[in-house]
Amino acid sequence: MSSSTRSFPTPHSRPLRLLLVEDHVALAKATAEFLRESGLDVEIASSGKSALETVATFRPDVVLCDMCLPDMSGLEVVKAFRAGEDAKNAIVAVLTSMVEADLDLLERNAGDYGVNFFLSKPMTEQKLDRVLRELAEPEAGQESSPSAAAD
Amino acid sequence: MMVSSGQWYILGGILILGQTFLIVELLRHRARRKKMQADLTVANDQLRLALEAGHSVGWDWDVRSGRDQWFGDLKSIFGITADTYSGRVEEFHDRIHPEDRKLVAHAVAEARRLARPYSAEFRVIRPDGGVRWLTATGKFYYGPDSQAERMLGIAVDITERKSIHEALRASEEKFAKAFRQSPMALTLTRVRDDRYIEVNEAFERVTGWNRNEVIGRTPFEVGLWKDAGQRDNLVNRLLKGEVVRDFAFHAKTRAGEERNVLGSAELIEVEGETCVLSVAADITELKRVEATLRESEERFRLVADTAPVVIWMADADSLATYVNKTWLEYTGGSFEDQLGHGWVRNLHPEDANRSWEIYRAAFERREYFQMEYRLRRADGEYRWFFDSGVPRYNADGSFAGYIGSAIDVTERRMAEETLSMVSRRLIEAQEEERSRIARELHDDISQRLSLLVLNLERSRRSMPATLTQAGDAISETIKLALEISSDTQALSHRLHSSKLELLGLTAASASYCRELSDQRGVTIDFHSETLPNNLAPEIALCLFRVLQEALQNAIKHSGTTRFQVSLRSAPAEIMLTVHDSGRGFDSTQITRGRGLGITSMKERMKLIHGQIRIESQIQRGTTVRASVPLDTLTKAADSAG
Repeated sequence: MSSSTRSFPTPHSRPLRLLLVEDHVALAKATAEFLRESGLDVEIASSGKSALETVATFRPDVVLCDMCLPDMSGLEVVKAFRAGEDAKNAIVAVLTSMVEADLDLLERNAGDYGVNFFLSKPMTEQKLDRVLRELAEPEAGQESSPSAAAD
Repeated sequence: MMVSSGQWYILGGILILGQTFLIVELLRHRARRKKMQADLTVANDQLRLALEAGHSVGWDWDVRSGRDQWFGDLKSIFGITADTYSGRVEEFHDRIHPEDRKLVAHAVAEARRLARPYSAEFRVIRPDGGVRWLTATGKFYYGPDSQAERMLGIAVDITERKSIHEALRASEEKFAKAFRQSPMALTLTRVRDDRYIEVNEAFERVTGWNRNEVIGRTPFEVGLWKDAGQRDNLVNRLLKGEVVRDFAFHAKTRAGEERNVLGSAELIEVEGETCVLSVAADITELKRVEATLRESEERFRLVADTAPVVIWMADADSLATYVNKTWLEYTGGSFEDQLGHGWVRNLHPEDANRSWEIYRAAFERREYFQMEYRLRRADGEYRWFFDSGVPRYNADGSFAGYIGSAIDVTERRMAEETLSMVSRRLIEAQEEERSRIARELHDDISQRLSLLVLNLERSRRSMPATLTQAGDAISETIKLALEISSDTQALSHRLHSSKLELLGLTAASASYCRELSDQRGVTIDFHSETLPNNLAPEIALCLFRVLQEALQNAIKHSGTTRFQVSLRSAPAEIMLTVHDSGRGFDSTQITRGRGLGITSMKERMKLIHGQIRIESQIQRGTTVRASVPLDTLTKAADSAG
């Protein structure tokens, strides 16, 4: 389990690009470090607005978005992603501090929001594995693909 | 003897003459007899017609042979359809009414024996069963041997006369009986000298005087009437042709008691004598009751007018017939202005229609009612009144109207409102505090825990694989930290549910029900309809809190493990129902013991202009119904947006 260099299955030769949308500065920083150590190319956005700006240049493969942002909700950010071009097909996981029972409820309707995963905070190795595996096997697990949801 | 030829001639002449005379005489005689016969026939017919017209029959009885001949109006009397009838005298007897046969036989025998005119009144029965009354007169004719040979007579039908007479007699009897037995005291006195001719039983009862003691005496002699002038006045009025009604006077009984009497009188003719027929009723008791009633009425007015509350009365048609002085002084209106529907004009325009509806509906159902309204004081200030009314009934059970009272509850309402406001402030403050703590937990503690976990994850990664023991310890610590994080999040949500804002009332409620049933091991059936999507956050929060409170209560007190929760959307409102079939409780006791929860539910509902009803019956379960009218929803939504 403990290994500093990890390789995730990727269709690209370059490292995976991950956009982290998190307003809690320290947490964002620690999460980013953790993800970079996992071999990912990580960018941080601390608000919905800056997230939307970042995707235009960064074009992420994966987005980890906090549910509660100072300017808009995580769901609104995802909605905007799906409506635009830059993060239309990204794998999106929304991080919330919800209790497990409510997560189930959200998961069931994830397609309606255009979200691939609802994850409880904090981010852990296990949860990261779940998300990245989705990237390798887009058919597995989820009922609706992001693109289907976006349409 | 020698007869000369001349003599012969003379003789012959005489003979011829005689013969001629004889013939002429014979002829004349015959003509005369014919005329006589014709005359007799005419006479007979006339007699017959006369008899018929007079509903009479004649008879001719040949005593020796027993042959009896009847003629005249046989049809209506005997039911025989012929002008004349010949029969036996026994036949006639058979037609007499059995009860009268003896009488007739006796009268006939007496007339015959004493050679006196016969007369009798009796009934005959016709073959069709009809009974006729007859009055008969007749006479016997005797032979040289003094034996009765014939009896001739005539009988007249007096049935009609008889029945009129009967009716008259019956009516007189009835009158006499009515007179005797009337519950009113009746007297008959002569105008001439004021003496009693007749008094009845009721008179005896009322006055104590016996009939025999007063007949022939005057009311003054027996001391019944004190004032002769009063009676003179009465009689004078009667003599002027007036019928005197409801003439009040004092009468003294035999025992010397004074009685209040109400009488009516009129003049009648009795056997040629002008008399006063008077009817009198003893109204002493009535007067006493009236006086008592008047006194109690006066007492009521006195109490009502000095009472510090408003008192009113209305008749069966819902029109006010009385308001007390308190009302008049408060409103500054006149008594007349307030009667009928006048009082409604003093109500606050916002309260008038609602109050009138309550009042009218109660009248229709004849039920107790209560209502609160603002009433304009004489100086123009409106104050709150609590008014309640009860139906009242007459002695015979018929609906008489309403009586009610009202008190100024402005102070109480203000206190209530203050209390309510304090409660609301408290709820708001509590809600604020909860949400602040929840935010703190979520935004700070939770984030820091996340950070802690991440750092631990990173430490574990960077740790050489050889330090397995330390690695395991870190893994344990991560697990522990995750648990704390999860609990913190749960706590945060319990304090302030962001998922309500996020997911909406329906999903949040469903989620809460599921969570609670897992936690407490009970079954909660949750049912919901699509709710309007513009539901204001404060309404959603309020209904959610009521749901939480009601469910917690139900689980705690009902003694059952199955509960029904429903969220429904009607055209005019949203309704939340929490039901259990548990042991229930006495609805009047709800404010005690578990009061705070219910108070908070009520205050919460007030905040959003909603209503909450708690229905419970022992062993029948409890139902909590909270409803929010839709106009509030949009209002709240508007103000929220």
